[in-house]
Amino acid sequence: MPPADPTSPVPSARGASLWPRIVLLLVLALIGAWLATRDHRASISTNVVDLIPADERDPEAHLLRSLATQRQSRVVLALLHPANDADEPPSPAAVEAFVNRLRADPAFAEVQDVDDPTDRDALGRFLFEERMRYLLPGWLAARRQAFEATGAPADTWPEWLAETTATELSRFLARPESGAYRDLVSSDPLLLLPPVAAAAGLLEGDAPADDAAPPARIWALSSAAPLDEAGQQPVADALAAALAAARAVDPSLTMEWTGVGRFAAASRAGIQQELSTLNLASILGVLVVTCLLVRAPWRVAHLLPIVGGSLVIAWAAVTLVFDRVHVLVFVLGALLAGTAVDYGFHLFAPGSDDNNDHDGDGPDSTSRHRRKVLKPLAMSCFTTVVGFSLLTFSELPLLRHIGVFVAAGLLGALGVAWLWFATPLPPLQPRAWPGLPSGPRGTVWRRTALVVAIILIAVGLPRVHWHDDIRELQLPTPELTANDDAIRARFGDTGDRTLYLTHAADLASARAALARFNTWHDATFPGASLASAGLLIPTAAAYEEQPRILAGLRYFPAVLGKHLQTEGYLPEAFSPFADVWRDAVFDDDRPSYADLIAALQPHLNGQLGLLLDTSPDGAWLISISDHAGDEAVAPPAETATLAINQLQSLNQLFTRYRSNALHLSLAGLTLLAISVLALYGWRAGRLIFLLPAGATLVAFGVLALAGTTFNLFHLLGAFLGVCLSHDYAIFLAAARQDGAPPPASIRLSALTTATSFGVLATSAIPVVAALGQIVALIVVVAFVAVELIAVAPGPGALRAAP
Amino acid sequence: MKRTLIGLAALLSASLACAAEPDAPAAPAWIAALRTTDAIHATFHEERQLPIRREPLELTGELRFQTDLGLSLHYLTPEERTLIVDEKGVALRDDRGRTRRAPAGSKATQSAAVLLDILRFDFATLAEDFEIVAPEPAADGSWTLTFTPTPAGQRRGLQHVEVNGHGTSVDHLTLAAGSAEQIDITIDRTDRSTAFAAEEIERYFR
Repeated sequence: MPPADPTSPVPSARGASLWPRIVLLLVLALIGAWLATRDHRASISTNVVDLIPADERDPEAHLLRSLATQRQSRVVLALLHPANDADEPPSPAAVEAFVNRLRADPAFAEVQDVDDPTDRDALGRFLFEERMRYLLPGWLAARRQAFEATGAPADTWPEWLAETTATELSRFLARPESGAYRDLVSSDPLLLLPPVAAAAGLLEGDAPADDAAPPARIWALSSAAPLDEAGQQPVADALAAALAAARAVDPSLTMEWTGVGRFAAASRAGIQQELSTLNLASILGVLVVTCLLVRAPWRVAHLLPIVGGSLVIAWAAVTLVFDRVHVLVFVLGALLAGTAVDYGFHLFAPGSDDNNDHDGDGPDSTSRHRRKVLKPLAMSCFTTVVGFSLLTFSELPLLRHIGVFVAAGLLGALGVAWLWFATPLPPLQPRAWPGLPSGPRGTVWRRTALVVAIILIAVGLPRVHWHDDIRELQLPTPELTANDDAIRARFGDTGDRTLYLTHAADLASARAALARFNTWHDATFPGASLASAGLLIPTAAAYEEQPRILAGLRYFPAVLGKHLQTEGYLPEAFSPFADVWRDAVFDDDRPSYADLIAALQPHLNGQLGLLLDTSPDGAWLISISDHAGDEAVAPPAETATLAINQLQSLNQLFTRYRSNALHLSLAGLTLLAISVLALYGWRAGRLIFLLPAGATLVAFGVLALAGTTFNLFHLLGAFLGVCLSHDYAIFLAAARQDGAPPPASIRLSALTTATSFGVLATSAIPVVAALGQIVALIVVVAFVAVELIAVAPGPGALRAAP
Repeated sequence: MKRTLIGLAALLSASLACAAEPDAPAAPAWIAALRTTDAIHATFHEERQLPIRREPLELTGELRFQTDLGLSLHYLTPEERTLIVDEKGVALRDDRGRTRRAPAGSKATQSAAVLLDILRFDFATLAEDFEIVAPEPAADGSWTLTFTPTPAGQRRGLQHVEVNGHGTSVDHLTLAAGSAEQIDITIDRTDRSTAFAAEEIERYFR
């Protein structure tokens, strides 16, 4: 019997059989209406930090999460450039106008002209006046340690200390940089201040001195967090207004600026654009492929309710289960469309034996076809849902969200497809498909393909290299990144120094950890300088110990005077020091350690204020070393310190997540293998298991040979690819058991899925592209395998598909 | 004592280079003969007299100067250090090659700026901060330049600068910040060439 005219009306489909569709559309409309009432701005995040669990135990992730919500993330850096042909920096009046305008704007909480020494000088004066409380304890502790290392008798300690001090003083005064301190030496022969000044230079960073007219450097802190919209456009507007104010003084000025908010705004806009573009391109691609594969392709519109329904159900499910979901879930969730459409194809396309007995347009035929595909369809859906459900046990929120999104969406897709096609419809009519040659030529093709596959696997798999980088989850913004790098370099943030974060429950603990880190740093990077605002305060232990040590050094000025005289100095010139020392020995108003720290903090303004910070999450100390970053050399755990470059990739953390996801995937595959062997027996079950596994290995081999570095999302994509190709294998095995060719729905599914994931492979977001590549490749390989097996001799030998 | 010399006294030794702006209007005619575009390499020893010391500190090193590159003082004893003064300001380079500039606005930077003007014999600029005495050279070819800060120039932290030489060579420089604080630099040996080698420029300049 010839197939029915697909464009002809289906009288028997009218009437009562429309009720399932009506009910379905009503349910979907209700779910859609509920979704429309949700506050998506609050429930959908574009912050990459939200991809990390809030209770993540890994210190790197904990630091990153905390930093993102701390003052550090609100820093805005701006450069005011003079005219290109200028031979002087911007005029102080113009810079002042810029700074004052910014300070007056509520978008900014703090503004500082980095080259204005006022704050730095005030801090210097404070530290000089209070040096015996803040700086002497650490100085004494370090020298006491050095003295004990000599093994000299304890009673020689004052003499040793005086001799060492006099020698160090002479060495210092011979240096060019000593000039600025010569006036202070008579009060501070211990040289407590010079290391602080040197550290301040390292902390603040040197601007590259490559031009005679350097720009003015403005450091500011926005009032709102940069991931809030209040921390984005209002900040840009305030900067523009400040520039206008500066231009009123000097019209030739130009401005460059950077801040996390600028990246966040670009990321938000970019992801929205990416979503629109990818979805549109995917739909167009699928439409083109469908037109090539079926007659009357407009009838494919019957698949839209399945895709739309599954996405709505998935969205509703993930919104119900989680309070906040990252927008990447929806980008990656586009993969659901590729799978959901398969169920529609299986129900809508003619079965493998339709050439003989499926007349296509009657209720009986529809029922027969539905009964026939029910088992493989349910099996495919069931195993895929089980697989994705396992992702809900992942440590990574993004994977948990995707697990719920896809599992719920697939169940929804099956339900929607089942109800939609309950109303009899003439089956989709595939166009003629040449297929692969059978007979001896087919055997040659199969053997060749098998050999190629084995070579790809054998040569490619050993080259598989994994590396994760949290930055790949974001849309690259090379222009903003280059701008950011250039501006930060002006503020001294260059690759030849490394930033470290020391974190503890309170400042005293953090300072103790910093001392351990300092010891480790000196041993690991000999000669490198370490600067930290934390070094401006003593450790609690050194501070508490100081009175006891000073009691044993009561007459130290006299001993020092003797050694200074030997070194060629005039001892009487150091009488100011003797007075200060006596005050320190008899310091009755000595503050508590907590008060000591509290008294310093008001003097740490601007950039320095960020280097020592306390919050409900604990206390931070940021240190800067003048050696280049080395990811391979990480501070030990007892230092409670991390290098910032560790935070940039979070590779170690993501390696753990990937390992976790791999274990879950393997568990899912094991479940899948057991299920198919139990349901289909050894012969068919073996095919159903080996086809997706082989396709996945070949895909990994191909990408590895192409030089791909694999990440967590390749693994996630492979998991999906296995589920998709597993679906094809089930329908292929079912057809072979019936002695029929594979249904055309496999072809339709595979090629449309490969198209939609091929579109994802072009994404500018690296992880989305990774997912698209691996899935598209697995599906294509699996489809080729299906075509090759379809013409292989064996049980149910196979006729060419229509 | 609030005067700050920042160890830049040795900069004056570079006056032997005598590279100046060609159109320096107030410079006496004989000064023009001292100007040169040569690359100067010299050795020097320096004595730093400080009010807290009974006897001066002694340093030795080598000096490099080229008009377009600026001045580089490479101290060899008692510690290896390099001090660079150029159009961008003042920078210190340690024995590991790490370079740090002197903070903007500091006396060090201000002193460097004015000292560089002295080395260039930019009399027009110097006249804003110093009273300059530049008598004609003596019959034996020796000469002396003295710079006394005006009230506006006091902020530089210098009280008196004197440069002695003969012919086209500079022999001695004195930089005084007070009666008890003075730096004396004696030039031992001078070599001239057309330019420094690229490696030398990379190591001693910026």
